[in-house]
Amino acid sequence: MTAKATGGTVETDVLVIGSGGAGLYAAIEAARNGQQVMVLTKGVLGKNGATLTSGADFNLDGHSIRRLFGFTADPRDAPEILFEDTINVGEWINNQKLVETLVDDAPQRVKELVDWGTRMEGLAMPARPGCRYPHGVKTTGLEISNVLAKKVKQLGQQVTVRDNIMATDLLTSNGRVVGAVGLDFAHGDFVAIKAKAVVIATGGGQEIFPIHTYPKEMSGDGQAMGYRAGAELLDMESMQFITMTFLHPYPPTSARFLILFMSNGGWLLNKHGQRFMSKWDPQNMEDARRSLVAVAVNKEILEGRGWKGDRGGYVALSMRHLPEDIIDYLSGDWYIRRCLFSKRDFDHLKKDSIEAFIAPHSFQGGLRVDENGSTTLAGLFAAGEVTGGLHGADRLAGNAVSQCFVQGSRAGRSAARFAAKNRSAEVNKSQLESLREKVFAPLERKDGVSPLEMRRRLQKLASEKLINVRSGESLEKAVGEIEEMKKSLPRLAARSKNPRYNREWVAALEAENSLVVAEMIARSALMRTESRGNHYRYDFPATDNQNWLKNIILRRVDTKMRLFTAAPPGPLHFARVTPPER
Amino acid sequence: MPKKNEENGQFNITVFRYDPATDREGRYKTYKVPARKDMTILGALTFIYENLDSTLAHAYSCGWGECRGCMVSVDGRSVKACLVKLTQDVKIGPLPGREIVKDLVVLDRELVADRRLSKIGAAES
Repeated sequence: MTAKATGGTVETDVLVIGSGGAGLYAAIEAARNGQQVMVLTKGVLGKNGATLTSGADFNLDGHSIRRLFGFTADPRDAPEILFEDTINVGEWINNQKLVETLVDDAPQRVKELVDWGTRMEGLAMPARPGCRYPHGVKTTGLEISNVLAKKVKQLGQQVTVRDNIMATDLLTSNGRVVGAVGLDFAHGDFVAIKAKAVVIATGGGQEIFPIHTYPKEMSGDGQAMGYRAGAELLDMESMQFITMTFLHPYPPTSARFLILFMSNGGWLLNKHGQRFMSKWDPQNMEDARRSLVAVAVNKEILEGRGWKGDRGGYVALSMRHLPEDIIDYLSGDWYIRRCLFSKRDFDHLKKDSIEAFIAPHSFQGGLRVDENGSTTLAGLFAAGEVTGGLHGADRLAGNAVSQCFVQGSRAGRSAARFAAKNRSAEVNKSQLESLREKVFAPLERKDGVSPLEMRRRLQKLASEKLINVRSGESLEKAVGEIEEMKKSLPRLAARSKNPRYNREWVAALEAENSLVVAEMIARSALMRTESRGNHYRYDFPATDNQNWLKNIILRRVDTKMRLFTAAPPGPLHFARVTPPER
Repeated sequence: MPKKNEENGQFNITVFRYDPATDREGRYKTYKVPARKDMTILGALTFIYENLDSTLAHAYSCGWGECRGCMVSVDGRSVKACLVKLTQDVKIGPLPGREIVKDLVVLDRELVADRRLSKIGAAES
């Protein structure tokens, strides 16, 4: 099955865009429900996507651990506790229905993964910030990635995975999503896939920032193509920053974070040697909510009490107050093997502090979905980090990977059900043709704006104005600059005209998506005139529960981005827990 | 193998170039990449792509040693480009014995199953 540049359209029942944990889970579930599935991946199956690089430590309450695996676990810990912790950290704007499905389904999904051959590295772990009890299961992203890829291969003809394809836009017909188009960049071919149902599982949009903790292909493609097709998104101002990161050697697009320091007694110091977390949360200090620590660190840096490096600002992380044998013990920690942090680095920590950078981490906002993974468009489903609503204003550590399994599985099932009930709709020929032209434009345009230059410009803007510490003034400037940059989009041109594996061509297609995502963040952040979770406003430093216990929703109306607010479905219709008085 | 080109602080990176759609066989092209303490092979390839030759095809995903997407052959050794520091002139080719998409990009899904290649180590220096 191949689609050539001649305009041949391939057909499938369920089309899944993305091959991380959410995408592959959706594919498996749709196939198990009897549908023919095609997966598009912007890389090679099992070798890309954020699940692969994740810490793969996921929350599972003590009660469920005991029930599933028979291990001793804290008897006080139950799904209800995890539910409350998730909403507490999300600062009460989570969609509580989504949270409920997460805590209810996660044990089942974990059991399933173990049955499929996932080797778990262990069960108990230190309580992470925001979790009342130590709980959870840990494996590696690579392990999960391998198991899911293997499972997909076992499904044989029922699931076709197409490598090296960037989906660019959705095909629509009478308000229903009926497929997608994209670029097979390995060969330079346009591809069009007609589908009865589409699942978007493309992950976040971290690539709008110059340095982040995610793989480089996360350019916000799913959010942008959903938006262009008319789907609603929410919580786009909510983007997580992670504190104790260090930089991987050049190229500087990647930062890794050292989660162990957060729960093992590391101190964060500014250049005056002050343990500045005492100003923010004297009780929990560095173990405070991750969003709070990230805001505190960035404020120290922005206000001149940190250091500035050519790859970003940082504060100091010190462990000198700890006994040396504790540091030796930590160096044997499971997480370290994944952090490229050597024994030598740990020996250094016994004598001196290290640079603790701050880096963009996960997206909390994204496509608006219900608990079955349905978006606001018929025929379009979404799962994983590309969706919004589950985490609210901040994500509880350990909820990212389980989100992928739970939502992937549900979206796959819903898509299969939709595909079984609905015939495939006719593809609009003129829409197909204009999307084809749009894909080829940056390749065919003789000269114009460099996509790499455009990306650098956007990344500079994002690193200055879209980080967690914001102000109305700088956000307004950001919106203005983004509007200005949008004018350059029709002039993007790849320097090389060779269609085969032309990275600048892909970068040009990504640039449009990243710009849309940046605009979503800037406009939503400007609208939220309070501080909550990862979103801190200099001009509105307080949390305003009176006016802002609600989500910012956005969608495309004509060609403009329109924003409005809505109360999360939880507190209104589903009050398992209610916010405390502030 | 010549050591660091001390005079201008650069290394010569000789890279395999091949487009199966147009070329009968591959050839090598040499680029000069600035020597810096934290430069990896992946950094050098990215530097070439971004600044010297945008036609160079090379794939990677995570950039820190997990995805194996960046694997290439450096002076005959199959390595993760992101984990090897650039300390001398090098010759870089695609992983051997695999179908080439273009330049350094190969069809190599099967690496997924190879656990020996998934071990994470510190960057060589």
